Amino acid sequence: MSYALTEEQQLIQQSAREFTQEYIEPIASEIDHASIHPSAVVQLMAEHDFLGLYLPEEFGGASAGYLSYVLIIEEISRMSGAVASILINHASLAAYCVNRFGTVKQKQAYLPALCSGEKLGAFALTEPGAAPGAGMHKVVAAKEGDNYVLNGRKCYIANGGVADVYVVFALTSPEAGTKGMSAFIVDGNTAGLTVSRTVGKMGLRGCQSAELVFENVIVSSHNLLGSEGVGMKIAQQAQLAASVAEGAQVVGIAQAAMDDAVRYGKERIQFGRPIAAFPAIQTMLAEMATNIYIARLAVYDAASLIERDKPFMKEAAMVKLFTGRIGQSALIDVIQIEGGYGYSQEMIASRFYRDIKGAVINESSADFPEKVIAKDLLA
Amino acid sequence: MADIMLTLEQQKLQDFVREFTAKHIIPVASEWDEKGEFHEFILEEVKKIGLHCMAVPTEYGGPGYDSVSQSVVMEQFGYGCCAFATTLGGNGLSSYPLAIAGTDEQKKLYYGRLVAGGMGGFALTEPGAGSDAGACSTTAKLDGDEWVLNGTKCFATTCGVASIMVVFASTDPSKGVKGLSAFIVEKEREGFSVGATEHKMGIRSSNTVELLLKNVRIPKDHLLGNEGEGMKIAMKTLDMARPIVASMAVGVAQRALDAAVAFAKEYLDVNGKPIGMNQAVGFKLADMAIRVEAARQLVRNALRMKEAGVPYTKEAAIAKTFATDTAMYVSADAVGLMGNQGYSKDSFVEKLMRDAKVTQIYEGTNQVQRMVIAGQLLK
Amino acid sequence: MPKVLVCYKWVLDEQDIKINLGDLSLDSSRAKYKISDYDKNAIEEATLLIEAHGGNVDALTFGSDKVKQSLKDALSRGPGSVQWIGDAAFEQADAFVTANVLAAAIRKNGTYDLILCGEGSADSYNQQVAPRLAALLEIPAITFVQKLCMDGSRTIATRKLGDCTEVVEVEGPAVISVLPEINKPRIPSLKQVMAAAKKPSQEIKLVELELSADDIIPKTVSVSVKGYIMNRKNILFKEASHADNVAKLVASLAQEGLC
Repeated sequence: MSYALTEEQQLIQQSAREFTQEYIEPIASEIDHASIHPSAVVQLMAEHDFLGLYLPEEFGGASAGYLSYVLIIEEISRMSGAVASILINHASLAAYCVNRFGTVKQKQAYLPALCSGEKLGAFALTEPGAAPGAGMHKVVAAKEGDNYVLNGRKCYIANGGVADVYVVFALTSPEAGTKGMSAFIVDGNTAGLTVSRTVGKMGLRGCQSAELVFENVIVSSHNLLGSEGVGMKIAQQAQLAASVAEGAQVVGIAQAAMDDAVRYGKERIQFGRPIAAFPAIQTMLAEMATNIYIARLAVYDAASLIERDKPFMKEAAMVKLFTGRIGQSALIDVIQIEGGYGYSQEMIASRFYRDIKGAVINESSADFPEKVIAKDLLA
Repeated sequence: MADIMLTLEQQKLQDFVREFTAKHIIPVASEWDEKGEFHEFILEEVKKIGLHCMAVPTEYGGPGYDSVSQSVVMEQFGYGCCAFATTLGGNGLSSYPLAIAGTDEQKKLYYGRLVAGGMGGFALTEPGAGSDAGACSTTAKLDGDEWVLNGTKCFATTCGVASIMVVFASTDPSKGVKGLSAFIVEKEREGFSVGATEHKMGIRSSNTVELLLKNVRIPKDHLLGNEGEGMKIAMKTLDMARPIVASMAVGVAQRALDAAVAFAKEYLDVNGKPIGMNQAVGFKLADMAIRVEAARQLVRNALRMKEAGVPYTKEAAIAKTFATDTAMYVSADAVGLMGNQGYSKDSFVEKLMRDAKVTQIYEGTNQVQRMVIAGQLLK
Repeated sequence: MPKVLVCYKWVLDEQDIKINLGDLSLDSSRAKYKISDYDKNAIEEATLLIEAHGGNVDALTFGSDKVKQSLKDALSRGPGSVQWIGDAAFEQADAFVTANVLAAAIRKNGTYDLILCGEGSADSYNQQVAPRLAALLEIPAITFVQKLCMDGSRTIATRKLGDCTEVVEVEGPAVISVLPEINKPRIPSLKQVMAAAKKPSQEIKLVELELSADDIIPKTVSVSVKGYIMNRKNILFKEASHADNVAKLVASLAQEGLC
């Protein structure tokens, strides 16, 4: 890897590697098995300034830039995709919205606590939409004097129930569809906001997913992000910024899985030689190594666009499209190489297999990255 | 919809098994997956309708189904639960060595137990001998009128609950593959014990165990075929099993496709339209359907060749590879398409994606299948 | 308040060095550098001392021209400033040369209350620099330290000696070499990493140290460095009975002197 990382970025990467080996590796498998939110690790990440890494110094961040941030996500993901997801939902989704679209007052009110780890963030967009009559569940925000009153349901909210601050998307003009969506900063302890259940997942277990119920939740109009009706724009931009971090998550998981397959391939003797000596296995390894290399470059490049405040939506969507494909196929091949051994629940390969799929899931199925890329090309 | 390429009997059987699956398997599959416990009670239901020993010929009390009918049944079971299908498939597989090399007496013994409701097991794999079955270290030595077996087998499907099984052991370790022989071992033999149960990422309610053989004495006539024919028997067995595994995989893929289609019809996008109306989603579903249908026809083609009595080794390997790859990719695409919901335990597709992976690995990895196909092409 | 100096070495990460199986030569073409592990303990101990007693820690290193890459890493771990001597003479330097260079640089700066070093370097592990440095500076050396306390101008150190420990006390300046078990080096937080860029660093040219030619000619010369690899012997016992296999295995292990 010779991508021109600065000396500082290399040090941040090194520091993150030491951190993850020390604090995340020992608990990674346990939080997956037990599906528990690792609050002690989140606290340690806060102490090491991971939570506000790319956020501005004036609001308590480390101003280290988005590229440094994705380097850290990559390192964490090599040990635990779940911990990476906790950080992504906190930093690239919740805190991103506040930092990018908030007023100075909103930033002052929320960012220092989000950077210090006093508060954890979550991003509440998805609604239970599959059931007939799903419209009933949509979160609607009705203006009443200086406040908005929120009612409805959100589902599959990562960090749901453990977060202290939610960026919630709600319809201020339900009749206008997506154009009537607005974003609010909502404190987790606001009256009327409850967690109806936590949701089991195939992977990324330890990053808690929950269903949220809003029942006459009163939110001050000071907590509206941007203006009414720009919610969709905010959501899309935040999600694309997050997909660059998720790309780093895929790269990290795939790299760790490949390293594991290489180790196994050298040790596993069949037909009198290590299976890594067989061209069929070498082809699979070469393919995934190439994909990981290219994906990593794309992730770093897209991250540096975000860092330099350049347009990044197309490149972020490309990262999502590419990492989505190669991450999944890498893990399918890793388990193939490790066979019954890798398929065992105790082995990290099977955890990576389950986790990597979660890293590339679309928030909404209609939100194909292809659409974003094509829109940019055809504009 | 009637599958009109099947005979009327086969269509009737298909309908019957589809109903059975809907009633007895589908409602409990998730729960048993979560628990990871053996699905004994489903087996009891299957015994009531006589589908537990499909591979047993009529003269030994079996139902006498042709291979296409067996495939139709296994596809439905795969549709319901891949773990359960694996148990039944393994049961059939364990009896193929008898069809290949069994004497009338041996068949009476082995088939008799299966017809009576006992399960069969097939123990070939060892810690050091996976794809390379010749590296077998379990030994069998003749002592008077008895064979004495010693060694350890692993990843043995159903063997923890089996009544009778075919165990491979070396009668002449100096000869490698050519020293391998096949034996019938009943579970009550002294010295036979079940070791650790494998905890797997998928097909969790199927039983996969380690077998410990310590001075297990079996009668001389429990040798299948001749000494040294073990490898030949094992290879023919796997030949016969390929279309069955492929049928299960088609069932898994069909289930994933059905779930994705239902989701695409019901899930509304932000503008209130079903996401299936989006051409990108529609095309994805079409791609999935193309693969599922092609896989099904490849399986049927291989089986019709078998019924016609022509060599079908290559076609069976092609069908196994394509169908299991299809199960893998279609189930993963279904999870992707269904987004957060697909990734969660709220939906069945996440289980399909965990289950599908093993079909590419067991009963001859898809790499071994390619060795077979290439061998046939180049011979 | 104590004035502490910590010396460190910038070495190739041994994990990245591959052994060429043919001639057992070492391939370090893809190896990264790191602060020698034992020196990280020294840096941490120095930092802990000033966190407890006030004062300040400076860092000092002698290396090739690449040693400049180490400065931010060292500074992120606690020291307030760093001085570095980067010179091609380092490539051939042995402990004699290294100690001469470091001692000259220290003399140039004045005095320190304590000078901390790692027990040895992660690459050559001669364990000589600390005692040589003490001799050159004409102050006491305390080696193999596993616990360190300061009490005014007194330093109390616990040394590990085989299966016993010795507590020694020293008044005034001393050179201390620390064992890995003395502490667990901190993982720098990202703000510490970012802050490192703002801390002062100063280059000292080798010529400024006014050493004589003899002082920088190594006394020992490395003739060759070769990898040492353990190979599997891949012996398979294929006797029909397990008892025979076990007997052969035991005989074979005994032949190797392993049992």
